[in-house]
Amino acid sequence: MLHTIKMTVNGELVKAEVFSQMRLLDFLREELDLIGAKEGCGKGECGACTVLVDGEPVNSCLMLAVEADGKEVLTVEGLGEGDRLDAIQQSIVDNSALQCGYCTPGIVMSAKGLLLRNTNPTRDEVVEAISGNLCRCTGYARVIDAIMQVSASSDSQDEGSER
Amino acid sequence: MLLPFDYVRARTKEDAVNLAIEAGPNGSFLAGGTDLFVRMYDRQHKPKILIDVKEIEGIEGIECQNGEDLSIGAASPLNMLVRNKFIRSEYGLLAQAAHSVGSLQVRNRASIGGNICNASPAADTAPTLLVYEAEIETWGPKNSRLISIGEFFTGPGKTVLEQGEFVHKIRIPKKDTESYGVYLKLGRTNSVDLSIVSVACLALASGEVRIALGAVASTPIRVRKAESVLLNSKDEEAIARAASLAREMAVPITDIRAGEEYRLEMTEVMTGNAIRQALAGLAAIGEVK
Repeated sequence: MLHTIKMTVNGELVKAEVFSQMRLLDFLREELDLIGAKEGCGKGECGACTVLVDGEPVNSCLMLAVEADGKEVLTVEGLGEGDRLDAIQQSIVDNSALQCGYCTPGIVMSAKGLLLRNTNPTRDEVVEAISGNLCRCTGYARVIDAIMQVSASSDSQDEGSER
Repeated sequence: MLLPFDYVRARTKEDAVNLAIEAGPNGSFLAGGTDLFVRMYDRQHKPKILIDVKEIEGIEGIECQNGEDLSIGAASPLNMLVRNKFIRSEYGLLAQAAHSVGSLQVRNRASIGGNICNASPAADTAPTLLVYEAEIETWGPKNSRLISIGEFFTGPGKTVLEQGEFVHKIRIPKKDTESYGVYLKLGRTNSVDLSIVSVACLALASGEVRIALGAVASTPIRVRKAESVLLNSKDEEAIARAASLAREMAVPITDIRAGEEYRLEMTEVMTGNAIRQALAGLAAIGEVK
């Protein structure tokens, strides 16, 4: 069955026809050529496909494209402006918080989701936010450091923790 | 990739029932999809029609007021429960259980209704709903009915839901006494894993202590025989006796996560710990007030 869907992807309105069974991950990668989100396990365990839907991190392998109709989707390609990286991306680079990089777009989006809700998270909150993102080479210490540094350098530190 | 199917969005309760009856055994209700899509990805389940219930009125959202029953829309994502201030303060055990499911990403999609409809013996919210004595409000071909959570599960993956019937809301009776609950979950890792053993324990100011277990029987179970020991005494001897009775009532299997003997041993240890923590928590509330 074909569905006509409309959604905002990285700030741009996208209109498309999709089959029922097309996952949001397939739609982003195959129809829009946004290949930042990766397919790792395909079952919501590894988090490599994490994108934000209406500001919340979700596994795009466990959501249909048609379910994202009318929603706002943000992928790693939508971060930063031009050549300037988002603060989280820059901090990952500065902290050498990656090796192969396969999990990195997902981790960056999970961190983005956290910092949108909570500009000044604790270390525990950072750990929880990326608990659905598996990394099999770097480990998590540098990743957590990198995210903590972004939150420490952000301007609005007085909003406090929401969770 | 998923095998082809047709996705349809139910606009009303009646619409959902009609679509489901029309689809028959080829149809599946869809809420968060975090279990359904995994089974479809693995080709364990091959529905031809998915009926999305998320836009049905009242199926998402939490209605809560002091002095009234707590009503939770079945398609409410678990993170909605985790973040709800009323649930955190008045039904903290439910927030704990919801928080223990999967990962943050999964909790943003997975719904409380889906958690119980999948009827996994290890469903994290089930032991908690058992000790809160929740009622499941369904909608189906015979209109609405209320099912006690204790009668809802019939086996692994099986419930009393009939063809075309879906869970619309979950009701938790209003609190008429102070209580403190503890949910202990043993998994191989702290996130993204199913329980090896889970225990929900709710200590009430009335003196009652309610205990339910997950992942140690064909359904989540309430262990009333263990509870009854604690009615008259809550000393260490009674706690040990209750924990031992909980172990006797457990009938776990050996699977990829753990062996039967380990599960039995952990049932006893964790039940004892859960009772101690719940009683201590309740006592601390009393001291603050």
